[in-house]
Amino acid sequence: MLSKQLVAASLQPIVLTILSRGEAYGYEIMQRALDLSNGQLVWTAGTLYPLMHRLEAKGLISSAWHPSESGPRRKYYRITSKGQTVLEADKKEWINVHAILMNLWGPELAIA
Amino acid sequence: MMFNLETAISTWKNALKHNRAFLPEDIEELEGHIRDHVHSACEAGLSEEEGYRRALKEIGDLMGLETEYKKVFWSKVLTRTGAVKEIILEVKMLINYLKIAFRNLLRYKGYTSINIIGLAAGIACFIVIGLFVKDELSYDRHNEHADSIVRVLYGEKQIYTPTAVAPEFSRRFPEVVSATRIFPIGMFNSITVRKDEKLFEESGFISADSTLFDVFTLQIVAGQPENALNRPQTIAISRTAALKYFNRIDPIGETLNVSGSTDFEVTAVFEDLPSTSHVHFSFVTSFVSYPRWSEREIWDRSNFFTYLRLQDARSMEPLQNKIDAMVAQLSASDPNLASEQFFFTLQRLTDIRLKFEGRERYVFMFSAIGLLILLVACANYINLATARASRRAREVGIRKVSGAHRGHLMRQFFGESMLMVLIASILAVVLVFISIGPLNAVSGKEIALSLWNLKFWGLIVGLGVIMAGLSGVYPAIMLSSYQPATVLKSASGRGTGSSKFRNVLVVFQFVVTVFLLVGTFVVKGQLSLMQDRDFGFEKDHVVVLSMNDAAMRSNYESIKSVLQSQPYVQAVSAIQSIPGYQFSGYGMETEESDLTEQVPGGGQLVNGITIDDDVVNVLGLHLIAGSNFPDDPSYTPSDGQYRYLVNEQLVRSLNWDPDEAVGKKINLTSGRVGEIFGVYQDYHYQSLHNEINAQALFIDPSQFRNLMIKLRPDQGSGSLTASMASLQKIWKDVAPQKPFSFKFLDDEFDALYKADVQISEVISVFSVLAVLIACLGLIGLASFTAERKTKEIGVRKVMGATVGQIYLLMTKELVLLVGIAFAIATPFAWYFLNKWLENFSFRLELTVWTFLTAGLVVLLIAVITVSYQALRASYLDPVKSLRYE
Repeated sequence: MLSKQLVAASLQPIVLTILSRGEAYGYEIMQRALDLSNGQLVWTAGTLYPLMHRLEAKGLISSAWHPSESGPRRKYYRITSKGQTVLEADKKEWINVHAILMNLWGPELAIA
Repeated sequence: MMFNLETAISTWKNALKHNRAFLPEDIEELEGHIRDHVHSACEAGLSEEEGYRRALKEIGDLMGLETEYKKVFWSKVLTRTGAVKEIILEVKMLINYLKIAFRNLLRYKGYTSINIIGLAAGIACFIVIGLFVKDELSYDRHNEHADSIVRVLYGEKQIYTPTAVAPEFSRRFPEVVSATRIFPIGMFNSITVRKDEKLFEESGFISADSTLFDVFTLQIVAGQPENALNRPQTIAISRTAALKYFNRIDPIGETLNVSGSTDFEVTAVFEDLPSTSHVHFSFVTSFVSYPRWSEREIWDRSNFFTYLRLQDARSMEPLQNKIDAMVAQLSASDPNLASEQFFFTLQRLTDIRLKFEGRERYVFMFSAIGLLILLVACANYINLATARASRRAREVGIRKVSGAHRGHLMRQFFGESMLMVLIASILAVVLVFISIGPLNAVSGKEIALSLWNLKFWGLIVGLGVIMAGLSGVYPAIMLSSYQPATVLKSASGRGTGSSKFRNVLVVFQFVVTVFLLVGTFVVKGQLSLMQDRDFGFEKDHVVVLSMNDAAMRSNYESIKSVLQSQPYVQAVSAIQSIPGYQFSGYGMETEESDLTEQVPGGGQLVNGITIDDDVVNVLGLHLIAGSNFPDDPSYTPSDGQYRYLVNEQLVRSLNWDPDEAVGKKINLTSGRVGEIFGVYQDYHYQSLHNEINAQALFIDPSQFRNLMIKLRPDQGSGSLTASMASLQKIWKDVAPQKPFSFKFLDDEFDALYKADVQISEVISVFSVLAVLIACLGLIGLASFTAERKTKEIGVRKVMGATVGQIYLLMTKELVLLVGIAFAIATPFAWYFLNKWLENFSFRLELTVWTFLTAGLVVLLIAVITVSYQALRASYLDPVKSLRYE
């Protein structure tokens, strides 16, 4: 399990990255994150949905209701061009941080 | 019962439906989330029930969810169309809180009225004091360049400066943008002004350089300010003066006759100066009208005020250094000028009222009183609200059980304080508008209040918010903190624990009360000390008339003999200026220094006033050595032949014996060598704020400006009117050119203390109000204490306690609190009052009795206040008080 702070900090870039590969609804995003991280990224609905709403209010993503094959309609989220730009910036930051830590710790640790 | 997913989900949805943190589509989204969760759980082989349980666990508890959704609530609403609806909902909630608060206020009328009256009185006092303080702070601020205007002082304190200062400074120093001299012709001796049949004595009469309008900001009504005062025989007058003499505001080119001798042409009319100007004038003649002063730039006679307008506020310090350097240079080149007293100090215009005239300490005093009153009013509210908590504890319990959050309750209680403060503020504003007139009368101020002044309303609103905060927060926190289980379990529902805090507040109120009372006693005591003091002269039964007129001066001896022959006249004399207003300064040389010295810089500075030989009789001065001047109407002074009477202080400053001084020669600069005839006991020739310095009186009829007539005091009633009527008749014969406008010496002298008297009145009024406000709170508190102790008293009475014992029980705590307050207040009061008294040269001695009296008065007031409740409680029939169990 990752620490709370790290989960919170990585939420936005992870969500944006998942959405940049195609639109998705809340539960789907959560499942993908769980699969991608081998069960390490455990979010709750209480963190995910308010974040989605906040990102939407900022204009980084947009949403639309689509009918689902089973049962009630679902709210799908899609990344906007502004969201793409922010994601690029986020990416650079994370890579920078990563590079710094790698330089500090050396290649052997990075491999291990 | 079988698990049904649809039932479970709809129950869950119902719980969220009324929670405004969630929009309908948020709930729909969450529902989808749960369904997906259950779906995938079922696929993994779990039951629907287990899947649902896990989904809920993952979503987390409702409170956490609500908190997270709340954070984004407004950004979501704003991006949609619901914002207006949401705001309306919020407002509706607010209205609801107010409605509930209002009902609560109405339910407890006694409590509400005590609270509102206390708060309103506190707020009203604070506003009024705020207006006073603002008025003081706004002195001279009406000048556009107020910050860069300075006054030049001769030495450190003397406001009279030589003629050379203004022209020399403005030539020499680039920092000086403009400089003006003011000669206060009629500020101490009135001037006769005439336009045809309109004849008045005017006191706001000055002469000034044409640059007056450049230094000070005077609003011009008519005429050209730039060249209004650059010709001889021109005069600028105020709007009021223009209306008074010409019945119109633009009498440009008309003439006014001054002192019965010269006609002055009106060249400008300016708006009346605001009451917040430290200098007041209505008539300004051009300085060039008096070549005797304007054409000579001299350093050795000081009769003029000098004001400079500098480039900016920061130029003052560098300029002061340059002036010091210039004075050093001047003293070095002219040994006659060199003296310890020959230097100049710059003083900011905005410091004159506050620092030089010493109003700063009153501003401080008033602000402190205002703040204290406000705090006392707040303490009242807190005390009453928390004392009442016992009554509302059960309400709080029920509300919490019914699902109210602590935040809701705090909002509710805070809303009640807000409402209370709102009502109190409205009442306070009404009080302020009603009382400002009488208060202006008492304080001598001209504070105007307008309903349309936005700043005023801003102040009220700000004050209201602060008051509500100060008084509402603590009760709100306390009341909302009750645990339902605790308050609902105990049948009486009593709140506990806050009585200590209440006692602290009560002690605080008593500290303030004792402090203010001691302050009032001391201020009053100091004033009566000043007023009852032996001034060293007799100020009663002396009529003062202006004889500032060439014709009258030349006829003086005949006028005097006519007056003296009247049966009701005891003595008649002439004097340059009357006691209290004697400001003329001279340098003095003695035989020991060098009598022939023509320039006085090296000599001592003395107060010099011209008199005739009867002043000693009229003022009742005590001669302690030598004698009065010989009766010699034909005497006229000339160098070498001057005749002097000097005060003890002058003799002392020269290390002479009074007897030794008689017959010695002195020279008041310049060219007034003469002999000392007598030494008189010091009298207060200026206000008691000033110390008595060396003074010399000498005969010089050319400078007589005031006629003093001592009436016989032993006349029957009604005789004063008859005497004055007779005097008026004589006046018409001897001085037809002068109006008969008389003053009494005692009134004039007492006027010097008007400001002090007014301040002491104002302080007393507010101190009494503070005590009353504190008492209001005490009444409320006592009634709650009595109510809380009803049962205890009942039991005690059943057990055999007497009324006296019960009474003691009820009041002993109060006595203890007053005692503590007294112990705390005394050192503070002692310290601050001693500091204040240091400002007087004749001061009251602080005694233990002053403090004890104040302490006893407070104790008495407190005991009387609670006695009604205490007695009522102790006389209560135990059968009744114990029955409700």
